[in-house]
Amino acid sequence: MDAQELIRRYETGENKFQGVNLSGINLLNADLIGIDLRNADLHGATLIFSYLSRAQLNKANLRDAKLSGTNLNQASMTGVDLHNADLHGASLQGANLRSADMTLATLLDANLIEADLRGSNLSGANLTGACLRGANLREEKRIYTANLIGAILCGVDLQGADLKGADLSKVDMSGANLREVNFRGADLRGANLSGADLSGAYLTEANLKGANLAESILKNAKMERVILSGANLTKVNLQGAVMPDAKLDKTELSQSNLSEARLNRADLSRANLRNSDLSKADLIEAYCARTNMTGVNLTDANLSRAELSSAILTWVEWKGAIMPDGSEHD
Amino acid sequence: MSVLVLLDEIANALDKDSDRVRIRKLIFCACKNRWENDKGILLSFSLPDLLLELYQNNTTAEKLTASLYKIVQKLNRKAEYSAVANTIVTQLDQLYEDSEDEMTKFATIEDTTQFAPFTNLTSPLPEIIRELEHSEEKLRIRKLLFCTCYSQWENNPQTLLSLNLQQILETIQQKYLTLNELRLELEGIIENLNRKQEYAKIGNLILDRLAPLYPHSEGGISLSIQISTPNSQDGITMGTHFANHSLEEASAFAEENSAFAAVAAYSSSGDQFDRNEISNEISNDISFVTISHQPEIEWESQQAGDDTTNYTPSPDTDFEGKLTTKTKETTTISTIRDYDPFEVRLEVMKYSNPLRAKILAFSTLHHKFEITSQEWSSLRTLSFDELLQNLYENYPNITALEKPLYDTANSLASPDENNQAAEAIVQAMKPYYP
Repeated sequence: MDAQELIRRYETGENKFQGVNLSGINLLNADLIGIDLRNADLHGATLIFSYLSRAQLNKANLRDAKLSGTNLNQASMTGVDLHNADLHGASLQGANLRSADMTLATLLDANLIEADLRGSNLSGANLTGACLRGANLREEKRIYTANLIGAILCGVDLQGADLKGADLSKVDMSGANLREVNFRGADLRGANLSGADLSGAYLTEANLKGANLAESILKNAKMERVILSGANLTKVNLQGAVMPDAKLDKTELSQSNLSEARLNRADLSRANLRNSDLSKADLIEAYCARTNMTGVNLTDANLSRAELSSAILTWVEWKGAIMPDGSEHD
Repeated sequence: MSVLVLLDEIANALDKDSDRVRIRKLIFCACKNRWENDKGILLSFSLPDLLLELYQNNTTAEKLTASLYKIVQKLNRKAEYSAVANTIVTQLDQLYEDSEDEMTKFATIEDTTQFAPFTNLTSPLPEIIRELEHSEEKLRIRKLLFCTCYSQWENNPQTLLSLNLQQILETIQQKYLTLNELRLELEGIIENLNRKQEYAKIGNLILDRLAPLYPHSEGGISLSIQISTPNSQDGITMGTHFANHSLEEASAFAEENSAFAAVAAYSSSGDQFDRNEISNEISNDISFVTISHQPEIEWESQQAGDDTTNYTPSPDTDFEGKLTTKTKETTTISTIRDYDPFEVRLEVMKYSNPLRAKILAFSTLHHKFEITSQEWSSLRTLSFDELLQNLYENYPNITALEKPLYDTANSLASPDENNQAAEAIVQAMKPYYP
């Protein structure tokens, strides 16, 4: 079947084209709203700017298809094969993409608002600038968590997304909107989160070993027992972050804002906190072996029972701080 | 009146203020170089003593303003504390004014009429500077003068307050040969600001005050952006201000401009500013001011260089060292302060096709998008966020954005879809424009 025939039949009211072979077809700008193309072979098809909203594309083959600017809002696409497809600026709002294969797909600036991505495979996909606000990326069963290994997520909007326990090691999420995202227990080792906004995010027990968080915003983030060993946290804003028992050994934390952060029992050994603001921070029983605290502001901080004997403490502002022995510095 | 008696009076007045705790907090921090939230401690200090310390540490009203706003910038409740700072400055101002009067025996402002300099053969500059400095809007006056002189906007109060007004006014006089030229320049600047109404007032004030520098220009030039109705009852004063503008123009403007009444009130009453109104404006304005790019210590040494003899920089050198890095870190660009790229993108995507909106933004900013593989690949390298933000930054207001956007939409293939994209962009950006 060629494009003309398909469009002619669709316009006469025919809607069911299940399992047809349309590989390489050119349907540029075509209006095929609500068409049923389940199990159809559309690999390598050109569907730029076409209207496929509410289309049924379950298990269709859209490998290498050109879907730039395609409108796929509310389309049903479970199990669809979008491997290496080009979805630059496509609109997939509210689409059902459960268990879709989107490996190596280009989703640059795509609209994935409220899309259902449970169990989909996005490994190696480029989601730079995509908007995933309200998208569903996981179910309680871990097997249904979206796979984002090696995905490019620069500037992505994932505000409020649930990525609990997700494997996000080495992903690039620089400059992304990750406000209130749930990263509990997620694997973010070596991830690039520089300049990302993680205000109010949940990072409890997440593993961020060696991650790059330079200039990121983690205001009021919940980070109990988070692992940040060796991470780059230069100029980070951790104001009011709750991070008791955090592993912050060997971190680069210079010029960061840790005011009012809760750092009780945190391991700050060998960390570089040069010129950081720790005013009003709680550092009860914090472990500061060989920690560089040059120029740190500890105004009104609580350092009860903290281990400071081998820390570098030149030019420290101590006003009102509670010292390890419980005395108050004036 | 002696300084001590005045201090007691000021302390009394400040203690009656509804914000008296915040006032104490700010004064306390300015004196003791630390923030105190404990009400007991705050109240245990004698306010007149603290005020004396503040007065002694800051030898001029400018220094006092700078010291207080420096603190305000580090607080999270900037707007509230800007108002508090303003209250303190307003109160303490009498102290500085008073000493100025005692020492220099300047004639008070009411004694000089606006036209005196016309017949004055000596340079009118010192008088103009004194008048400008006397205005409660002196920070905004300096902002506008700075921009007129150097063609760039400066928000840093520390830089602004350290300007040499004499030099700036001389440059302006050389740069703009007639009062009309100056008016056109000011109009151009004000058109591009988001606080047009406020700055139109300042612009008119500047034109009025600077008129003596242009003795050959006809008087009564004012900005056409902000025109008042020539109120016949105040014919004499008004005439000088608005003589060149027609009635129709003025009344047409009056209908669409709500702030007009305030301007008229201000203009007709000469120098009688409404204190509350102005202080509100100042506090609003100050809250947007960005923090210095310069390290703190450098600035203090500059300050010490002018007319101070007993100004000692904060004794806490190590603390200052910390502040140096803090100030750098918190530097932000005030123009994009409110713009949230994620919210804008979300709204655009909800109501239009992302690729169409991207192509439209690209075509509006650069050139009409051509469907070639080269154009496609260059479009891929551009971020949609940045294109949207460039649109926002390129056009100063929503009307200025609408025209090129819709024009471009109509010039592209599928104008219907592109008009939808244009509408989505306009709606998404509206909340971020004044």
